[in-house]
Amino acid sequence: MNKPIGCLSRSGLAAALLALVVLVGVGLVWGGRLFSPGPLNSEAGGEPLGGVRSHAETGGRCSACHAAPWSSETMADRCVVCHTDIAAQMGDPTSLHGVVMASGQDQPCYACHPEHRGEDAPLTTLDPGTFPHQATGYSLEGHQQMASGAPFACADCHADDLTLFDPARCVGCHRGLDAASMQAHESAFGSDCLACHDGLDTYGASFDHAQTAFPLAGQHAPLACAGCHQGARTIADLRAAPQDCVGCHDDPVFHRGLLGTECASCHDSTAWSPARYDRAHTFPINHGESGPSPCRTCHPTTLSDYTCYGCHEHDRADLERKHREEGISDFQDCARCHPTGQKDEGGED
Amino acid sequence: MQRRSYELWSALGAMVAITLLYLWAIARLDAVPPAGDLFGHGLGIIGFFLMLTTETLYSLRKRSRRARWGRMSSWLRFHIFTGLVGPYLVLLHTSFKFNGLAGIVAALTIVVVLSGVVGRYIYTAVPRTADGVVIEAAELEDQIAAAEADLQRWLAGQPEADQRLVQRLAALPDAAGGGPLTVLGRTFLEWDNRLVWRRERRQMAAMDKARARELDRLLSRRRSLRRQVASLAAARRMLATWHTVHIPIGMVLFTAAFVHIGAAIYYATLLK
Repeated sequence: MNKPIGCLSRSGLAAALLALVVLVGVGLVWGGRLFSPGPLNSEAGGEPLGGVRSHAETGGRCSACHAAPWSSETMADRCVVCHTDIAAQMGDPTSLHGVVMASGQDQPCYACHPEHRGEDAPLTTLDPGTFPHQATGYSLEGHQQMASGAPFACADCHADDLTLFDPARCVGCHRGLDAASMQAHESAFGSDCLACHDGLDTYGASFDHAQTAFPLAGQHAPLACAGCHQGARTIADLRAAPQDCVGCHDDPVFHRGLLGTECASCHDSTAWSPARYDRAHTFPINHGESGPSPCRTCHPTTLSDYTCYGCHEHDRADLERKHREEGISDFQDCARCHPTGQKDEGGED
Repeated sequence: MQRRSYELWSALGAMVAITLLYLWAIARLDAVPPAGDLFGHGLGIIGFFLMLTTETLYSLRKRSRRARWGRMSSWLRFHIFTGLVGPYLVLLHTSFKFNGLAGIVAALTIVVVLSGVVGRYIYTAVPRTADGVVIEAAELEDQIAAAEADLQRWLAGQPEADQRLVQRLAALPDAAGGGPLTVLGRTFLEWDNRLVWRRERRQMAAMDKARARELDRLLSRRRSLRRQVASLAAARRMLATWHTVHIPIGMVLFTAAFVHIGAAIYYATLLK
């Protein structure tokens, strides 16, 4: 090098030194204001906290909120020195701040309470993308966008106080989306939406019942939810809906309790009738030449009773006359003497 | 001497690309990217790095006897490119909020860039070789004589009308006294000369394009050399004065920028 580069020239170094002296001087006189990225909020609260009524009143005392990087303190530690009510909330899992703390999300206070944005700028800005809303018991997973495609804002669900929620807000919107379904839903399950819904949309319009242990087929498909989930108020209630037939269907009088509860062995969900019967039968079902007959052909009232008149050309008066001619007076229980139903079959007694 | 401003076009292209990226970030965030987030910080860090290279590399190359990498003209182009793109990134990093020291740094950046633009304009008034060596007055006089000889040689074979045209154009002022006004106003002087040339050219419809181009080249060369020799002393004085102003402002800027970076690390980056 034949001479120092421009920035290391005498005038350059002198200017740098002068600038440094001026900056240090201004810093000493003006405090940390020199480094402030923007004005602090000046909204005055009620009682003074930490000797000030607003953040703006801290002036250039940056250390009131900013802990030195090498200290063990965090900025949150500095916040709760003044905001003792919030410190108390953090330990209460029923409060908003307690919920956030309990969510395990290690978020600093300034994630929701940004500062240096102007004297009138709001001190609370909840970003739906980062706020652990699921920690409140309701996820925003299913509420990312409104029907119009616009993203949800806090005020769409919360009126004035972010810690309060009125389910009427749900009803208002969802009636607009599908009035008839919403009305039926309210009638069946009431209006306490949060009792069942956790925001994951597990039981919403996109819910696929086929993914459960009880796919809805046949006559079950068009049923209203409340048809099976009667009086359900919680997700556990919904899951507790009976899955066997007798949970909803009474054993018909016709069965007389003779066939048990394995309904699916004879019936499917398409319709009760026709039913198939492939178990043992005391009387050959296919004893004639026209194939198996419907149950009610022989059992017009119940399975415990039967009649042969429903099928054969059995004229009651003619049969009575013929049996009496043979000296048979007790002939109403046909199967006793005709156990296979074949022609010319007759008992000796 | 720099004949074309490739570095300016390159810087403009880079700034357009950066602007498109910035607009994409605005659309994605639905807001101006804050200075303190990843994108905003990235702009500031890259911008400041480019400004540091602007301040140091060209200067080091200019003064280094041993490390003579690349031509000075190339280094100057790189210096101008980084000197425009770096501050532009820093300007975007501010998110257009000019509070406290950060605002002072942004304002100083703009001042230094504007000063740099003026400096470059003065710098190009001083004739140099491609390696940045200043061409002295005596050598310039030789070049003028050579240019004059070229012109006369060329004119000897041309119609009389061309010779009369050259005489008329030669009577136009091309140096305006050779003082600071010539240095700062040379572009306007050149524009004036170009206007006269075009007017004369229109009247000489018979002159073919090749002849006109050659005559224009010779006259422009002679005019430029005359202007340079006339304003050489003034340009060198102005350049020296500019250095004494530009370097201290630049040093104030860098001092303030380093303090700003330190404060940002203390109050924001290391915030717990």
